[in-house]
Amino acid sequence: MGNPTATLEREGLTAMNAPGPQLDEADQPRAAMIKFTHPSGSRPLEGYTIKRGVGRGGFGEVYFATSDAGKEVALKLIRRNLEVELRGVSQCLNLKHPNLIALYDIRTDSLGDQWVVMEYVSGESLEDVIERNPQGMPVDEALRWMRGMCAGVAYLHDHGIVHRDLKPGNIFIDEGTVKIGDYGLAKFISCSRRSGQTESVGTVHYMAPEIANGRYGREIDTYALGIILFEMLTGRVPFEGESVGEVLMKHLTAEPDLSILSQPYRGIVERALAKDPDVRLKSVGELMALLPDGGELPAGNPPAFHHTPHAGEALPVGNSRPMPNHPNEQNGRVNGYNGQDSRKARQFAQSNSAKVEEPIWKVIRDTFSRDRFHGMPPLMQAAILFALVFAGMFYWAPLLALAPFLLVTYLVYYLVWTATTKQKRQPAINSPQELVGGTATVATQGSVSGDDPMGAAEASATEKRPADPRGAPSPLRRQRSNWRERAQRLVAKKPLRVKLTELTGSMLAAAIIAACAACTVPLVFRSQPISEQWAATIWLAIVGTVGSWCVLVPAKLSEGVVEDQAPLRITYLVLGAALGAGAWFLGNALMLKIPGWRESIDVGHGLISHEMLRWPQPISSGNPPLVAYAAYFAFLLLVPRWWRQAEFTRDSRLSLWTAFVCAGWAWLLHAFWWFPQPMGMMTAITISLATQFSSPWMRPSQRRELSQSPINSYDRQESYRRT
Amino acid sequence: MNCSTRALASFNEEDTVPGKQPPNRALLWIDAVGGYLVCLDERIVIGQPSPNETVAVPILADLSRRHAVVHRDGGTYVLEPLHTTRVDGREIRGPYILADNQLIQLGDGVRLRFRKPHALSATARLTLESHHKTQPSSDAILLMADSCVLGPHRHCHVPCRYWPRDIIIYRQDSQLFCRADEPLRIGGGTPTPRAEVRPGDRVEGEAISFTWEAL
Repeated sequence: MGNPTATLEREGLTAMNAPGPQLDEADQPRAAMIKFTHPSGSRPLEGYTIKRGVGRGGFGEVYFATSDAGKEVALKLIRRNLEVELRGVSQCLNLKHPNLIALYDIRTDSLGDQWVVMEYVSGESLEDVIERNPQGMPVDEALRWMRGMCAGVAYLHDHGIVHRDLKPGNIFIDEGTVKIGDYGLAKFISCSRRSGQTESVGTVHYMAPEIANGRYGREIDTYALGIILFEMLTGRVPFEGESVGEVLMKHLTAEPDLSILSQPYRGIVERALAKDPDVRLKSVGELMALLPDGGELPAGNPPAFHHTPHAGEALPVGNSRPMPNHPNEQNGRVNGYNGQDSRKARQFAQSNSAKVEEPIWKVIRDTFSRDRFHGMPPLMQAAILFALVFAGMFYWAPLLALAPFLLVTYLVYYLVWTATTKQKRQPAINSPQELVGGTATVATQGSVSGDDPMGAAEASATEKRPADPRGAPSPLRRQRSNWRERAQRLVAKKPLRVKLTELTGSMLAAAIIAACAACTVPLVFRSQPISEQWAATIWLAIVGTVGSWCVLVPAKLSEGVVEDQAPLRITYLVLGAALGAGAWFLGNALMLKIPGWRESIDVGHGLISHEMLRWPQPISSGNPPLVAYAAYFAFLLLVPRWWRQAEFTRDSRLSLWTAFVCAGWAWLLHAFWWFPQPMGMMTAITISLATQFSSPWMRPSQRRELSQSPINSYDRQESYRRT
Repeated sequence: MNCSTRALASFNEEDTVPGKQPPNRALLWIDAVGGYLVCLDERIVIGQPSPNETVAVPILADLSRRHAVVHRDGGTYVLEPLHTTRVDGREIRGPYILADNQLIQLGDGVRLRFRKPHALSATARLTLESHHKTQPSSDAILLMADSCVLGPHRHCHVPCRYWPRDIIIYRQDSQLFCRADEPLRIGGGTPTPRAEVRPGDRVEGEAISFTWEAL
C-alpha cells in the first residue's frame, strides 16, 4: 500500500491553540449554538433545497437537503476562503463500501463555495450513543460498532487513504449499518501555509502522538480506533484534560490507565495506544482479528481483508490470531447490526430513556420546575416568593409537623403504585444482559469466555469522573462550545486592572443596595422600640454590604481563572467566619438586641449548637455569643454556590429564585446551628440581592452577538465589552 | 386483506372516503436538532402515501392507504384501527384510548411509540421505532393540540438537547405564535419575545433557529 499522504503537508483548520476547556469546538457536530448561513428553503446550490442545518463537521456547515426529485442528501459547505485543495477527493468520490458514507459529487455554487453532496445518514452518531451510556455501552454493542468502523477504515487504508479524523462524532449508524464520514476531507483538504502556523487536523482526544512530528501514517487511525474502543467501553476518553495542550501532552507522555478494562480489551487498547507507531498494531485488520469473535466477518464485505498483507506490514506479534478471511460466512449481516439487533438496540435505548414515571411526582415536578418559575412574569415570581416566605415564617411549625406525615403517606402510596404498575408493564428489554442474550451469536462466540467485560464496564461506573469546573451543570461528556464558555474565556482574559476597577464599582453599588434592603427592617420589626429598629437597620446594612463584598471579591478575582470549587468554598468559609465575628462586634457596638432573640431562645434548646457549646440558658445579653455568629455565617457562605450570583454569564441579572434559595438555606441552617430568625434570612437575602444587582452581567444582546460571531475571530479579539 | 380486517375497515366509513380536504400539516425544521411533521388536525389518518389522496401521516411501509386513525378528544387520544393494529403487542379491534409510552404496531412491521410527555399540554408525539420513514421524512410526528414545547428537558415535545431554554409554539384563533424568554427574530423582523409565526417563517434566537414550513 502506497502512502501518498506522507508527503502532504498538514496544516490545520481547527484552532489548536485555543485556551480554555473547549477542545474542539469547530469539530463538534450537533453542538449547541451553531449558526447556519443558509435557512430552510434556500437553494444555494442548483437542484437542491436546504431543509435544515444538521451540524458543523470538520470543515464547515452540514445541511440536510432534498433534490428537486426528492432525494435526501447531506450537503457540506466548504467555504471559498478556506482555499481548499480538493485535488484528491475524486479518489474518494468513487469509493464504495457499506461502512463509508457515500460521496455523490462536489459542486461549486454561484459564489464559488464548494459543496460536497453526500449520503444523508438519519441515525445517531457514535458520540450520541456514548453520551447516552456515560458508564460505557454494552460490550456487544461496542463490538458491533468496532467491527463496522474497522471494516470501513481497513477499506480506506487499502485504497491508500488515511482518515486522520476518526472520532465518535464522525461515525454514525444508519438502518443498522455503521457509517464513517468525513474521510475524504480530512486527508485532502489543507490551508495555505500563509499564516505561518502549522496546525494539525483532527480532534485532540483521538490524536496519535506522532502527529506532533508531522507523521501521518495509517497508524494514527489505529490509535484513534483504540481510543474510541476505550471510550465506548468506559464512557470516557483515556486522556482527559482541561486544555488542548494538556491532552496533547498526555498523548505524548502519559500511560493510559487501562485497569478498568478486562481482557482481551485491555490488551487491544494497550497495543493500539502504543506511543511508538512502529510498535503499535500494524493494521486495522490486526486490531480486528484481536477482537473477540473478530473472525466472524460479515458477508459481502471488505476487500481489505482479502488482500494479502504487504511488505511493510509485519505479522502480528504475540497472541494475535491470523487475519480473518471467512468468505463463506452467510449470516446476511452487513458489518453491524442486523435488522433485529438494531431494533432491540433501539428498544433498549427507549426503555432506558422513557421509564414510566410516578404521576403525582411528575405533576409536581412539571408544575414547580425552575423553568416554569422563570417563565413567569417577575411580579408573579415576587408574589409567590413572598407568599412562601410568609407561610414559612408564620406556619412553619404546623408545616414541619405535617411534613413527616405527608412523606410517609407518599411513601406508602409509592410502594403500592410501584407494586401495581411495574407488574402491568409489558416486559421491556431492561438490562443489557437481555440484549446480550438476544444477540448471543454476535458477541459470545469465541473468546469472551471467562472474562467479564460487562462487569468491567460496570465497575467503571464507580470510578469517579472528573468534576465539572465550578459545578456548572453539564451532563455532557465534554464541554461544548457556547456563548457562556466563550464569555468565560473572555472574562479570563481581562487584565487585573480592569477586574479591580469593575470590582470597586460593584462594591460601591452593593453598599447602596444593601442599605436600601436594610430599610425593610423597620417594616418587619414594627413592634420593637425605635432605637432597636435603628440598630438592626444599621447592622443589616453594614453586614449585608460586607457580606456581599465577601462574595464579590473572591468570585470576581477567580472568575474564569479558578476552575475548581474547593478553593472558593474554603475562601468563603473563612470569609464567612470573619464576617460573623465582625457582625458580632458590630452588634455589640450598636448594643443590638436582635429581634426575636429572647422570644425564640427556647426553640434552640436541644439543638446541636446548644448541646455542643453548652450555651448558658437563659442568655442575659441581647446578642448571641460570638462563636454562634462566626459559625452561622461561615456555614451560610459555605454551602450555596454564592459565586454564581456574581458570574458575568449568569442567566439573568436578578434571580429572585436564587435569593429565595439563599434565604431557604439560612432558615434551614438555623435548624441545626441556631441563629435568630428572620434576621439570618434577611441577611442572606440582602447579601444575595446586593451581589446580584451589583455584579456585571452579560446582556442578551451581547450573548447573541457572541454566539453569532465566528468562533475564532471573537476569541482573538482581546477586547470585550463592559456591561 | 383478510376477513377480520375488512370488517374493521367498515367501522369508520367516513375515513375511507377519498376527496376530503387535505390535512392541515406543517414541517418544523429545527437546525441541529431535526425535522418534525406537525399535524394540526384533531383527527389524523396514518397510512401509505399515495398520489391520489393525502393522509396526514404517510409512512413508506407495507400498510393500507388508510391504516389507522388517531383522534384527539380533549386531552385523550383515541386510536381507531382500520386495519391490523396492535398496541403493546395486543391486537385491538375497536377504538382504544392511548396512554403515554405505548407502542403502536401497524401491519407487520411499523412500530410507533406514542408519547405525551408534558403533563400540561395535550400535544403528543409519535416516533417511528421501526426503520420506516414518513413521507416527507421526519424524525418524529407531532400531534399538536394548543401548544408545543421545544426545549432541553425530558417533558418537552421536541427534545432539543443543547438549547438553553424552552420555546413554546401555540395556537390562538387559528394563528400560530411563538414565545420564549429571549427575544426571537421571526421572519427577519425585529426581535420580540412573542410573535406570530407564518408559514415559511424562520425563527431565530440567541442560540437556536428553526423554520416552519406549511405542507
